[in-house]
Amino acid sequence: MTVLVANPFIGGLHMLDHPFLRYAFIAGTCIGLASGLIGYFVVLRSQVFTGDALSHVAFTGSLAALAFGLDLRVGLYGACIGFALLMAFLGRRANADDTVIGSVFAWILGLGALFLSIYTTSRSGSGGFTGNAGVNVVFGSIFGLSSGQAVTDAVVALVVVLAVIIIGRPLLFASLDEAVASARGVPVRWLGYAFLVLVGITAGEATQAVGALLLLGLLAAPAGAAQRLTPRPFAALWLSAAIAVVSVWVGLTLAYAFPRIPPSFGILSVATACYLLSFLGTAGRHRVVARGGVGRRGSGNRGNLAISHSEAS
Amino acid sequence: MEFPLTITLALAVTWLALGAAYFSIYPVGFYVTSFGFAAYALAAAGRAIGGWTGSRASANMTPLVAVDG
Repeated sequence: MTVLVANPFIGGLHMLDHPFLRYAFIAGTCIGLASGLIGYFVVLRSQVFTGDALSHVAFTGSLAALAFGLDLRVGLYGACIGFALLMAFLGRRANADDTVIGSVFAWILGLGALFLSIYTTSRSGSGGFTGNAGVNVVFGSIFGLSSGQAVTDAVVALVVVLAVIIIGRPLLFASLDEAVASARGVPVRWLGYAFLVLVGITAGEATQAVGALLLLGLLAAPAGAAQRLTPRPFAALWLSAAIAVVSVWVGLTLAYAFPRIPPSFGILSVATACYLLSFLGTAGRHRVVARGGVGRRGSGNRGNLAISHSEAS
Repeated sequence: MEFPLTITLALAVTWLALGAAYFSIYPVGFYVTSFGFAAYALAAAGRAIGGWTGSRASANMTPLVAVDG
């Protein structure tokens, strides 16, 4: 156990003396902010399954880049953005059933196993990242970021945040009522494309923080908690971002205080705990609403929203 | 006869994958998922081609689930 547990105040002061923790906090804060904002729209638009698809693609894309001697991030962002665009293009026309989805997803992971094998056998003996490549991609390696990587991740995440702020209002309108938004001249289709590209970039970012297998938690849990805690969409949007950032901060601190805890486990445990607490916090409210019979939750994820016309349009 | 066919396909995919992995340097997981996906893709393609070759051919196709009685 480190000095943080022996004396929390002194430990907390010295925690950021370590460069690797400073880089993790810089990148993690920005990634959490982007994941929280994008995650809210992912949950609102019922596209959580897209996040699951992207986690498979992120794994295979990263290892493909490594196998072909490229930078991991080339494959990671390339695969995530490419697949997100493909999903946006196919959209509702693709009438894939469970069997097709299951077969394709399993095959994508199988390809990932192939690329991992090519990478580890062709570059064996070079040490360092090679031996742990699979584990690092699947479970993240936020403590292994260099200063350059941390700054790049932070800048990319802040670009995503800026894009969400710019398209947030029309995107919210299009997410709540696509037909009315389209009739009011909102470019619903292009917003859908732009949003899925942003989801792809965020998935690539989150893969570096919590790993390909766990990125769905960082996208869905804070947003799910925020949506339960407040019915106001913009308050929920920023609350989701705040929960994601706090999850990253507390998770990283836990991982520093208890070296046996991996940072991705710490981050996702806090995010999941927030989600579970949101159920406890709102259980009474929902029971009152249900008993009253008025204002019952509607179908889908949009039932809990209280939105005025001027707020959306 | 769907049940024995699925066992046959599963065994064929697994045994072929084990054999392929033994004679190559690549992992068995890749071969299992690839052969499994290829079997499904071939079956789907065969069904689609059967549907395109005319109403007589599609009328003779096996239904997805045959219910006895």
